Amino acid sequence: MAKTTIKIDPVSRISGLLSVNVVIDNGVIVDAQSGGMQVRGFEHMLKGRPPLDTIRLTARTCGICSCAHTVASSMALEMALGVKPDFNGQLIRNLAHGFETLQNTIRQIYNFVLPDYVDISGISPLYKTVSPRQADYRLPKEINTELASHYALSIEHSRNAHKAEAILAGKAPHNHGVFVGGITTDFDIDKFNQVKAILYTIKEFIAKYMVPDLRILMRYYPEYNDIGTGIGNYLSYGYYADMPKELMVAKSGVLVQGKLSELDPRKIKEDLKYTWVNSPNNVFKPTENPPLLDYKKEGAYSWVDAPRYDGKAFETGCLANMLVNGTYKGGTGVLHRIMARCMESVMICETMEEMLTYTRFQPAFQEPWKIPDKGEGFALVGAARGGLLHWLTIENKVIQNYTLLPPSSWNMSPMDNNNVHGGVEQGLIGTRIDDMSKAEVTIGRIVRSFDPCLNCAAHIVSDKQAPFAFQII
Amino acid sequence: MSELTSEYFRAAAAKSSQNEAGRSQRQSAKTNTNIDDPKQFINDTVDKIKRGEKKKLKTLWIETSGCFGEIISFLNGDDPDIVYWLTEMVDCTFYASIMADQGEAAFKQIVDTVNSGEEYLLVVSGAIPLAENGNCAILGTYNGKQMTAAESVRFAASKAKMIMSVGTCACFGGPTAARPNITKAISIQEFLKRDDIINAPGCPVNPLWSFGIFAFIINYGRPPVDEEGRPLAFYSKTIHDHCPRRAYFDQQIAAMKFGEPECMFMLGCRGPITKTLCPFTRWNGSDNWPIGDNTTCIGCANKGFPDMMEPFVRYL
Repeated sequence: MAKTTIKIDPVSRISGLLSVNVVIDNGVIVDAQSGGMQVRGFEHMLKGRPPLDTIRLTARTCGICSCAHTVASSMALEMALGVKPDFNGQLIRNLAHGFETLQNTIRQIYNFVLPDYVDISGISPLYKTVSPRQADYRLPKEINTELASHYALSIEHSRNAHKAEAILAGKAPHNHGVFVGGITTDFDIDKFNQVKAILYTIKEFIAKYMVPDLRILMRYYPEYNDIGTGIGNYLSYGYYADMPKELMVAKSGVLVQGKLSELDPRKIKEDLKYTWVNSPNNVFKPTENPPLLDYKKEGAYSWVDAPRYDGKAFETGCLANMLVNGTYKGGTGVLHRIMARCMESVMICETMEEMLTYTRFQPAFQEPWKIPDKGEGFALVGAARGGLLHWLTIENKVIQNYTLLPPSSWNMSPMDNNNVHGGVEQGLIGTRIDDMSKAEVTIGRIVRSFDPCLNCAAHIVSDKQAPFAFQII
Repeated sequence: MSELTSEYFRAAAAKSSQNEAGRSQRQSAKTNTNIDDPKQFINDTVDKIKRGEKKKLKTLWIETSGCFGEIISFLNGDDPDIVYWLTEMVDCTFYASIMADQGEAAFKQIVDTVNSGEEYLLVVSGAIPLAENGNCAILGTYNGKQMTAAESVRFAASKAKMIMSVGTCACFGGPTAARPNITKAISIQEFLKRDDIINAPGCPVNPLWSFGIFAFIINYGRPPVDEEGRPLAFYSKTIHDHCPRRAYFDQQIAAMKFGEPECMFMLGCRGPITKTLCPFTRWNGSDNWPIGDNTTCIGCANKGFPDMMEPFVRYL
């Protein structure tokens, strides 16, 4: 059989714009390119801004995980400002963040992943695929009908997760409550009761519907338990890693081909060989000038750059968290990646319930925060899709430099300077395609198991020393 | 209170009363388009569709350069929710974030809808980046050609009966176009150079407002709008007019940090210049909203957000 190239552009049912190109040779995927199709340039945008404003602005980098950005930004600022957050405030902002993660998980599994396996075209023609045969739907009619009804049911629960986030932090997406010092919300018995009840119903939904639904998919689509395994290197910033041990869902760590070590953020760098930016060395070093956009760059195929830890490519996410912590005993294929996310959300629910018992009904701990002339801070946060890094410097009381490194940059990364593929690319390469008419479906299923989010994945690495010349209003 | 503080309050009070005068004038002309309870209004509309009195709208929803928070906020819609919207209110043919199809088959839905000869509503969320020949946002590949956000929106707009921008990025450029705007992003109305686009700003838009505007269009067709293209029914009252902290403002009692119960004007609250229904609809089906959460309004629905709305908090 001759080599065939398949391009899926757009990959729908993800957050953001993604294009995937694969080469199939003799029924096996031999090459894959994951191309982030959007860039906005936040690092340039954040320069020269009032530091506290970055909490609100970095939220705007991503509509589905904005709370994670507000938490990371607040924590990085607390380090830079020398503020010790109030423990109650930390608990409440972590609860808000937990609800957002649950919202993410429910939406990924039902809104994004489910239509890959379950025919829900009964709901709307929008859910019709060109040919149901090509779509490879395998569930018996009555099971299909039941799972399709759970799609509608899930909408209530993801919405309620956001309602709880709004109760704790003002609104969702793009909350207002998560702030330096912890949270701006006055916590009281009414808020406590409401979020406790919502948490209970979400936990029930996960246990009664989400876990069994995924088990059904694992039974009817058995090869997806094994394919799409990926790199085999797992990077975790933990989940609730800023909390005392009993309130931590996962601790951070690095797992390279089964060998566990401690996380050292200094080993993170980013390669730019295949990214549409103009950089002489194609490596992110904080002292070089920021690269400019260059869509004509030869060989490049993505707006996303290639982050590497200790020179190696990594997968990040719930499966990574659980493998690093030894809490997931299943495999590492497509449906296991999704099942691990589901299992971690059960642990997150349990931890949040525990966290609620530690909360106190008290007004917000807030001060008129003083911005130093100079400062530096960073935060590593376990977000819904994996590890999120924020790192900032302050000079003359404004942001001198702000770098965001979100989880999808790792998972959706293009090749690095040594031509080593990123997470989803390695997940695709080596996959057998027995029936070419179903190739697109298989590719889509593998890609979506990583829950691509391209809104903030493409970021411009920026420079510590570059002069900034913005007028501050 | 310092003299400076009093001065601020007096200036703001003068401006605010001007706003109110302007508003009541407009409203007397458009009394029938004033909606205080979007939820009731949406439900009435759905009833009318069910009784066959109103028709479902053929709709294309195109997401361009932004944070994709508009779909998330839209999914937060409650009674009606997105399933109800899809089954009862519109006939939506393209919505990349949720549709089953992918790749060229998905993009073809845009082409087929435009060429169908039927009336359709085009909804756009996100801004249009012009730098790098528009390639900072590529929506898909069709017939071997990569389609940028700019090309896709221009094509989809060509035969649209009505165009609605959802979210501050689509309406005014928003955070996507914030300085130094290296992708040279602009709003949909600037890009298409048209003055008939319905603007539904908000970062994100509250689903009660967006569902409400859909209900309005189904009921009455094109909604009456203000000078910035915003439907008057949803964007004619300032947050300040109906702020629960208004009594503190009138007495010039100011909060000097987040967490204090008084008026947050001195902290930089943009409520006096921000016209949204936040004080009525609140957020996410809860009673909470930014003011209720002890924080300033940051004017996220305004033209010029974020650059002209900063700083979002200032301590005197």
